[in-house]
Amino acid sequence: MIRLGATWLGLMLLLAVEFVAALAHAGWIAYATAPIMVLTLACVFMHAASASALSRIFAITGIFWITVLLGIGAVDYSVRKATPAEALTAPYTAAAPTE
Amino acid sequence: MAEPKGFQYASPAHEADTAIAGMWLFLASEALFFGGLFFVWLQLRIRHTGGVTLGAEHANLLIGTLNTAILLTSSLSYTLGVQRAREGRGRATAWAALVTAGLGVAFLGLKLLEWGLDLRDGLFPGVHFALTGQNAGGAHLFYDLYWVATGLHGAHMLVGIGLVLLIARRAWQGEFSPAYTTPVEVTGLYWSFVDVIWIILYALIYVVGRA
Amino acid sequence: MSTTTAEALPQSYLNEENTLRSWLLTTDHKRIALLFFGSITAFFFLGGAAAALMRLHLTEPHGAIFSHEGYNRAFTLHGVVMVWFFLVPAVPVTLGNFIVPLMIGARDLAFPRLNLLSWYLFMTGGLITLWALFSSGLDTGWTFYTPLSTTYSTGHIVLAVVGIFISGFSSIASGLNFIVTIHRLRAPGMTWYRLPVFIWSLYATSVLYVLATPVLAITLVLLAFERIAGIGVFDSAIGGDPLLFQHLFWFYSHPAVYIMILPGFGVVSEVITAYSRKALFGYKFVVWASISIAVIAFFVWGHHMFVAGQSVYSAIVFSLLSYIVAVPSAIKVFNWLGTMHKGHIRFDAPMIYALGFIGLFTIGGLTGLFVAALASDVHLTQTYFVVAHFHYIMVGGMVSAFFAGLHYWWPKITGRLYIDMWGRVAAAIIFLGFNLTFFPQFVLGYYGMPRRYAEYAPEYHNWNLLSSAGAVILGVGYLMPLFYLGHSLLWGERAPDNPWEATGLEWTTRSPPRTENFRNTPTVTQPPYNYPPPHSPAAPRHG
Repeated sequence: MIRLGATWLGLMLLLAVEFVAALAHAGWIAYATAPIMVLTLACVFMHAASASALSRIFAITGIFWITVLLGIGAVDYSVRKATPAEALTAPYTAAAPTE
Repeated sequence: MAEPKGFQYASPAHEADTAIAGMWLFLASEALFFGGLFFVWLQLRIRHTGGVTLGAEHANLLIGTLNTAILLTSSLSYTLGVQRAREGRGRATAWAALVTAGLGVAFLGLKLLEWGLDLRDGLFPGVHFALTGQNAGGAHLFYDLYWVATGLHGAHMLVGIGLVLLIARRAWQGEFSPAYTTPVEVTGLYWSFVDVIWIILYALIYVVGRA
Repeated sequence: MSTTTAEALPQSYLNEENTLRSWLLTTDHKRIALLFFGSITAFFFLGGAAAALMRLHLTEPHGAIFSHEGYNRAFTLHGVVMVWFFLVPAVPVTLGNFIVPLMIGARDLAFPRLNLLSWYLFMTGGLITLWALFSSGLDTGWTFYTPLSTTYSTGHIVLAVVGIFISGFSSIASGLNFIVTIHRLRAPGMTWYRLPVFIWSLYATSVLYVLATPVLAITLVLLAFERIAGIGVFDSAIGGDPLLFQHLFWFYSHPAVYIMILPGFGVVSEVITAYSRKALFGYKFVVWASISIAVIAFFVWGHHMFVAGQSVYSAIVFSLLSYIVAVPSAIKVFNWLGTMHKGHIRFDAPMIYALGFIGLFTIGGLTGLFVAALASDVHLTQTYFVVAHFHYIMVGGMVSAFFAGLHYWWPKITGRLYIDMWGRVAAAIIFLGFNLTFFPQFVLGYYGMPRRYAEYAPEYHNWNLLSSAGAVILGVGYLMPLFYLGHSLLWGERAPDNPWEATGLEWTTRSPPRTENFRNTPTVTQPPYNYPPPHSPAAPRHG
């Protein structure tokens, strides 16, 4: 019970850090705090650390494959110059076809 | 032709483990589902950094943060309920589940309020999109992602609330015992996972853009 | 071989209770497998009919029967039905559902009700998609590229996408079921390295089902929103990226092609060992090749986009990875050949199908190397070369493997024997017809004939005629099993429990099995494919 309460407090604190950082235009801190929050939730509230080996494998697998998607996909986007629409001001107004 | 429960498992623990493992596997697939949206966000951030910043600045940080706090608390309340279930205290479990569902409803209520405010501020990426300027195109795309992602998350929350309420009812009726808590645990996994997704979305929508 | 009235079958899963309700609400994996068999067969012939019409149309350079729009609808229907409603589910939901619990010594899958739900999701999705295809016709191809699908097409795209989305959950459910079953419900003594390769292949396939399909799901959601609300995420006019659609689409669809072929590898491993009466050569290599294919499958999706506009550095990475993924497949082919070497080979129908698989899959795989190389792909992409490449793998390979497995396990599933000679004739006709249909398409692609075109230049006429003639023969070959397998159901000789004298737990059950599969849970003490060595006294005499 205490363990859970302390974990909750820690999560709230991290949330507060993110909130303040957002206000202070230092939002990049979320790249650090969000993963910590996710891991904490997974390990404590979802008992990931004490679940059977199989469950843990499944959990890690999910994380690994998202990383693959984001990682290899980012290769294209980090190198390719964007399609010529950087300086667009207004969104288009063409109506979508009737469905 | 219903089979008796556990007809092919070595023990109840074996069956419970299996159900939990199955849920983790399902959550892995859900992670890839939302992962596609994260990929969309990533390419947006790379190609339209200014647009993401502009969009994030108009997102309602207060409501977003409040909602995150609510969801984190709901994960706490539900996990407390799981503990009670393992102790065989059905009524306590039911109360915990009800609190959780209530917090979930509060989240959705605030979300609806936030959506209403967004609409009033012209933040719907349609014809009358309110943001202008050099980064309006990127902000438009940012809000595309915002509405799709929060909408899908909300749909998952609805399902979660339904499942949690079901657990509350079954716990109240004494269906669970220290020897049998599988549905409680499995539902908890789903609920906390939806929380995990929200933590990531919160960071991507409200925080990271404000750099 | 008796052709008199067949004996009635003993008490089994087939005749235990025969109301409509008992079939539609069954949780027995064997009955669910048969439900899926019915669906899959229907979709196969529907997709095949579309193909027949396409080949008929292409007998004339200006098109024989369709308008341009009509042709586009035909190849879209063909692709959508064949990919999502035949190839992706085929072996796992039919043979897999039936055989996996038997093969590992289990009573059923881990989540039997989820299994039934999987069939209902499949049928719901299938019917919705068919409604979209027939009510309005879709002209985008099964790949739904933007902006045609989001902005310009006039078909019921959202409806079709909803149908495919729903059927995707069928895939995820089945994959989840198989993975958990294989981990948790193996009989005592059935260690991982005692599992037949069919199980390993389905495990690898299921990993792909569970992890790749959700990305398709989100892609279709975005596509639907783009079409309904014009959100613009794929629209470069407002800063979106049409290539984003392709990245997301192929992140699923490339693993999907491995979903389609991996089960075939498993079936062929079973058939080759049984009909060579020899243990699988290099079992662990085959196992780890399957797993590595499933892993590397996720890394190569960009090879579908070499000329679409992605960065060239990205393309180089994808090209290299595509070469790497070919290696494990090649390893398997050598292992199958090594299995046959000095084996006691019987050329029954399943073996002929399996041999056809090896030959046709190898050709398809080798031609994949041409399109995986960036420079040659610039010439070959979007031509009939690519069409021939994937049909050699999917049709020459996968459909042959499906037929091999169907014939191999037919006695177990139905309790009947079919007339083997017809099976061999059909297999030979299929092999001949297939090559006549698709080999000319390599030539056509090399000479530059584009794919998905309703008309073509006159110099391609003769090759197209050859291809269409081949299609007629191929069609005959595919129709034949309907007749002789149907005949076996009604009048076939009763099958013994183990007609092929093969190893594997499934052959220790009755033909057809009892509902509960095993009277007593078996204990496994032997490695898989435990055939006596070829020249030992226990080996069968030749002749």
